[in-house]
Formats: sequence, C-alpha cells, structure tokens
Amino acid sequence: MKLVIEDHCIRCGICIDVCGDLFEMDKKNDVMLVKVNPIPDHLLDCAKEAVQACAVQAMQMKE
Amino acid sequence: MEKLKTDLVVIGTGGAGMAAAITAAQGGAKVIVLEKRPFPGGTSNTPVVFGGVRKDQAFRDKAFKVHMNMTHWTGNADLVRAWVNMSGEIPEWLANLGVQFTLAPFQLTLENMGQEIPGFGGFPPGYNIVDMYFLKAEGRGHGGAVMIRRMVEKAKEMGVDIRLATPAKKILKVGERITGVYAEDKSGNTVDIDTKAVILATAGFNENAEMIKKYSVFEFTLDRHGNCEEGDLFFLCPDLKLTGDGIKMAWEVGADKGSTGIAMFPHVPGPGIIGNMPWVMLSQLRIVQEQPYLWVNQQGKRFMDEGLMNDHYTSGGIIARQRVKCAFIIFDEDTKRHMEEEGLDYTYFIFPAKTLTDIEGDMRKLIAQGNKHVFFAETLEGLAGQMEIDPTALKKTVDEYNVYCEHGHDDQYAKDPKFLRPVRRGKFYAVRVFNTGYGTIGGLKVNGKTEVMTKELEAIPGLYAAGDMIVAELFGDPPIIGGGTLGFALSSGRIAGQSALEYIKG
Repeated sequence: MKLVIEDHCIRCGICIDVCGDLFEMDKKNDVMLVKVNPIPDHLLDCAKEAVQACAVQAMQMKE
Repeated sequence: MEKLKTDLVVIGTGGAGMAAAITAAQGGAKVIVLEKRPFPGGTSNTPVVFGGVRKDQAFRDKAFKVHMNMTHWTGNADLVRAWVNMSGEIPEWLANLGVQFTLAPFQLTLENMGQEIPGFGGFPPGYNIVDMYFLKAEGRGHGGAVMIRRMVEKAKEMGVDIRLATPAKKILKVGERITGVYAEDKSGNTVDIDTKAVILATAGFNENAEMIKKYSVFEFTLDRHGNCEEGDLFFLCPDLKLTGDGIKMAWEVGADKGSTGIAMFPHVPGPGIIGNMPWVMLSQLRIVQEQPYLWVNQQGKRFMDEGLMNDHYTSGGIIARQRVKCAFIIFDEDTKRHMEEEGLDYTYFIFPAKTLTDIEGDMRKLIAQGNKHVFFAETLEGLAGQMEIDPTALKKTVDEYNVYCEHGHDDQYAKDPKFLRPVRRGKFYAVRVFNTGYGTIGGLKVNGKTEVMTKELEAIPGLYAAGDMIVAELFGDPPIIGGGTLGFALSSGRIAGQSALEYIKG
C-alpha cells in the first residue's frame, strides 16, 4: 500500500500530529514528505487515520 | 520574460486576497492573483471562525461606537466604519460562493453588545461586537482551508488567473500611479505584468526575525514545538512563509508604515501542547493555562487581575512586561479537583464544553515528552525550586493571596471573588506560559477605501491593501487589541476589491 500526497496539500502538518512516523515537512522545499513508502504494516492504521484527518483531503492510499 | 496585461493584480491567496479577487472579477475586472507558495490560502488555512457585525443599522452604529470608544478613537475611524458595514454582508456573500458555516450559539443583542459575555473569550471585557461563525471543516483540519479551496474554485470559474509558486517581487510605479508588478515564476523567470491596480494581501511578517525585533518587544523563536530557550515568542500558526514581502514592496513605492503589533495569546510552549494545526488540542493544559486562579511572574509576585487571562491580547501584553516575558499559573490539589470534578471557570469558545480529567497524568505525559513548562510537587517550596523562583517570595505571595481568598476580597487587584481559590493543600501544580502570536498585525497605513497611504497621508493611486497587513489600523498605534483577523480579512478584501474596481473603471 502506497501513500500519495496530492498537489493541493496545504502543509498544515495535521498528518504529522496523527502519524509522525510516516510524515515529515521539508520546510526548505515547502513540501510534505512521506518518509517510508510503501507504508510498513505497523503504520497502516495511523496512515489511514492521517488520510481521514487531512484538512483538505489531499492524501490517498493506493495499492 | 513573460509579459501580461490585466486590470488588477492581487498578491496573496488568503481570505483577503481571494475576497478581493472574486469581488473584482464579479464586477467585470480582469484579475491575476499571485501566490508565492505552491498552494493557496496562506494564513487563512488555519482559522476556525470569522466574525461579523449584524447587518442592521442599529447594530452597526453601536458596534462602531463600542469599537471607537474602546480604542479611544485611535483606531482608523473610516476603516472601522467600512469594516463594520461590510462585515455583516460577508456571511451571505460567502454562502453564495458555496462556503459552509454555522452561527455560534451566543448571538449578540443590542443590549449585550459591548457587555462582558461569559464564555466569549479572547477579547477585552466589553469588546463584543461581532457574531461568530464556525466554518465547516474536513477531517481534523480547520474550516479556513475548506473555505479557501471553495473560493479558489469560484475564482477560477470566473476566469481569475491564479498563479501559484509565483512570488511578486516589485511593484512598479510611474509618477504617482501604480503601473505594474514584477513576479518570478517557478523556473525563476521574470513575469512582467502591466496592471491598472494592485491589491496587497500578503499578511504579516511572522517569520522575519529582523522585523519582529524592530516592530515588537519580542525575540521570537521559530521552534513552535521547542521550549522557548532561544526566544520569548513563538507563533501558533504553522510555518507560513510570512516574511513581510508585501509590506516592504509597498514601503518601496512610498507607503507609510502603519500600526504594527502581535496578536498575542499566552500559551504553554514545548512538546505535546500545540499540534501543527493550531486549534487541534493535544493537551488539556491548553484550557488550564487560561484559568483565572493565582498567577505569578518569574519573581514570584502577582501582577494582574487574573480574571483577564482569557482576554488574550491584554494578558499577553501584561505578561510581555514581566521579567523573561513569562508567567505561571499555580494551583493546589483542591483547585485541580475543582477543575476536574466541578468544571472550569473559563473555557475559550473554540474549545467549548470541555471537562478536564487527570490533569496530573497529562502533566506527567508532557514532562516525559521533554516539556519544561509544567511542574508539580508535594510542597510549595519544591514547586518553587522546579520553577526556579525564589521560594520565599512565592510563599509570601501565596500567603497574601490566601488571605484575600479567606476574606472573599482581592485587596490587590479587585479580582472577581468567584475566582479567588486558595493555594493551600499539596500537591501543588504550576504551568508556565510565554506569548504566542496568532500572527503579526499591521504594517501599512490605509484610508477607509483601503487605499495605501503615504507619509503625507495621500493615497497612492492604484495601490490597495487588505487583511492582516492593515488590521492593526483598526486598533490604534500601537494597537490596543489584536485578533479577529479572518472576519476583517474577508471584509477588507471585499472593500479593496470594490475600491479597485471603481478606480479601474475610472
């Protein structure tokens, strides 16, 4: 399972609050990064929670 | 180099910029919007509410008077009047764009406008002039982001050319008139735009250390999750890339400096308290931190009527005048139980109906995460040691305060007796706050049409400003109130859009 962050992400960082092991902010390049892709099994639940928490629905999990 | 020609350039895609762009487009103007970040919204992605004065002449008149009297008429009266009149139009206008929101439950009446309203919070007692609207959010985010997305969609439908990752670099002026803008596209190429008018809506200068130092009393730190070891102010909103660009560009073409300040909110720093989205509550200490019990400064002395703690701008200003610009709330076991079992005395309206549970457990979690601003101890002396406060000074303050509690009268600052809760029985607890900013406010001087003004108080033809970069003009110089910025951003954006339209059409 892979996580895709779409262009309309607003870098609010709520995904980091929810799942800090999976996301990080690259402040220099002003982009949100997925630290590990595909998503490791032990982070699948928090990845799903982050997708639901997104302020602008900018994340998708894809096979 | 790309060359473009348009009627109006709007710089910034927050609430102010988008309101200006849509308003001008609705009036038939050809509009280009420039945004330096690769996505829209700026500061406006983070609010949860906006405020507006009821669309009724009696409400408008009273709100105007309350506001002007509160600022001792140091606020920009023409701008205040324009904002008060426009703000009541905003809910209907936004709804027509498809933005969803709900009216907060505590609507003002003509009778209670200008009176203290329990639970309203955030502003000085008596400065209650707007109804509040909660924006519909998605996920765990804030409604501002959803509002912006809808406004961008609407603007595009109307043919507004929105250019992301394209920062404006320079405003061009020939003689007295604004004639163009230089911007830079994603590849670093110059975009040369010939325009009749420019609306600046680039918000503040949160991340410009030099400007913060020059135009406030603070030494700020960029580390929102740190421990305030390198500064005494941090910003509540996330990394917004606000460097004061628009303000500086306006100054370069002759604009005068307007009132500036920080929209302050005393807050516990450090890990575990504030999430990346500022209104997501990670710790219940966000509510403890504004309760009206005993507050002391770094010298162990009381320094204010703690009943003002939920007036964030006022309490922030008072705390900023204390040594090291910080303060501590202190409470004992009985007051902890009061908060957990009987309820809170203050709840900020953004966190309504909260009941606290296991405050000590929450403190332990924060300490385990490395937070250095929460303390508890079996004795007052032990607490003072952790807080690095002189234990003798703290004991003297607590003893005096406990006498006020026994007598039911605060001889020192006349605090409402219902907030007098003694500090007697261990354990003893403390939380340290510094100031956060919602953001900086102000930078440019404008008139009631939001035309940017020179030192000679002449309008610069074709140059307008809206939003945070002018909001301090409402509140005097220096501003005596801060906050409430999204409602003003939307209103002033609309005003700027209308004024620019009038100018463009000659």
